[in-house]
Amino acid sequence: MKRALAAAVILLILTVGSSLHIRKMNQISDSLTAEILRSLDAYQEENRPLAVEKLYSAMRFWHEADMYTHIFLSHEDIQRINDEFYDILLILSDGSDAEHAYQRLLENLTQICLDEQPRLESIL
Amino acid sequence: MRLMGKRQLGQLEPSELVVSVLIADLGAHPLQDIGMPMIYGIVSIVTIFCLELILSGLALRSVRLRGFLWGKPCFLIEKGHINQQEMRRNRFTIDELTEELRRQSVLDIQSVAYAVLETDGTLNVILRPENQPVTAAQMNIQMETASYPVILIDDGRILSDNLRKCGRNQRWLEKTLREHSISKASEVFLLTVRENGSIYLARKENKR
Repeated sequence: MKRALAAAVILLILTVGSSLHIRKMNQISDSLTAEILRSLDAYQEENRPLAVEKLYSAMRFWHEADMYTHIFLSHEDIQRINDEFYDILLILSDGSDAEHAYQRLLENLTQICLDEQPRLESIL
Repeated sequence: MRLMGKRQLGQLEPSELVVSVLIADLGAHPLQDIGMPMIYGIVSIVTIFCLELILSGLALRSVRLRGFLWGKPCFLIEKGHINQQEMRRNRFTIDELTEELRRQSVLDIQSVAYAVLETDGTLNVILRPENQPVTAAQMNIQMETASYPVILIDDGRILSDNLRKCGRNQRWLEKTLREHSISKASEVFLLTVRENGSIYLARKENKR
C-alpha cells in the first residue's frame, strides 16, 4: 500500500506540474501575442520599421524561452513558430501583404497552448 | 518489472503485461524521434506506472476489483471431470490440456483430481490422492528439519552480513578455511553453511 500511496503522490505532483506548465505556456503565448499584435498594428498603420522592431522583440522573447520550450514542446512546433517569424520578416521587407502570415503565427501560438491543455481533442 | 514485484514476464497478470508493453513503446518513441522531447516519454511512463501501482494497491484490498482486473482462476478439471464449458470459455483445447499435463509429467488424465487454470495462464494440477507421491509423513519417517544454506563467501568475497546473521564471526571463518587448508577467502568460490553446521565449500579453479 505504501507504493500505491507513493504513486498517488507522484501523480499529484505531475498534475500540479502539468497545470504550472500550462500556466507558463499561456504566459509565454500571451506575452508573444501582445508583442505580435503591436507589430501587426504598426504594420496596419503602415509603419513598417516599428512593425519589424516589435516583431524582433517578440522573436527575442521567443528565443529567450528556448530552454523551456525545447524541454516541453516538440521541435516541430518550435520550428514552425520560428519559420513563421522569419516569413513575416521576409514579407515585411519585400512589401507584400503580411496579414495572413501574422494570423497564421497567432493561430499556431494559440494551437500550441490548446494542445497542452487536457482537452478531449488533445487527448484523443 | 521489479517495482511491480515481478521477476519474470510469465508472472505478469494481463493488465501488467499491457502496462509493460506500453511502457516499452512509450520509452522507445522519444529515443527514436529526436524532435520529441524526452519529457513526453518520461511523463507518460511515470503516469501509467503510477496508475498501475495504484490499481494493484487497490486490488490488494478489494476482492471484487481483483476479480475484475485479473479474472479468477477456473477449474478445467474438477473432481476428476473435465469441465468442458470452462474449457470452451477459456478457448482451451483438449490438445493444450493434455500438453500442459504432459509438461507436468502427467500422462493419464484420469489421475488428475483438479486442474486449475490460473489468472496468469499457468495450469496447476492436483493429482488424485492415490496418484500422489508418497510423503515421509505417510511413511512415518522422521526427517531432519530443513535448514537453509547461507552463503558466506561468494566468489572470494566474504558476506559479512550473512556471517553475522547466522551467528558466526571472522575467527570462525578463518578457522574453517584453515581446516580445509585454505589461507585466504579469495581462494574460495563458494562457501555455504546450514543451521546444523554442515558446510559446503568450492574452491576457485585455477585460471588457465
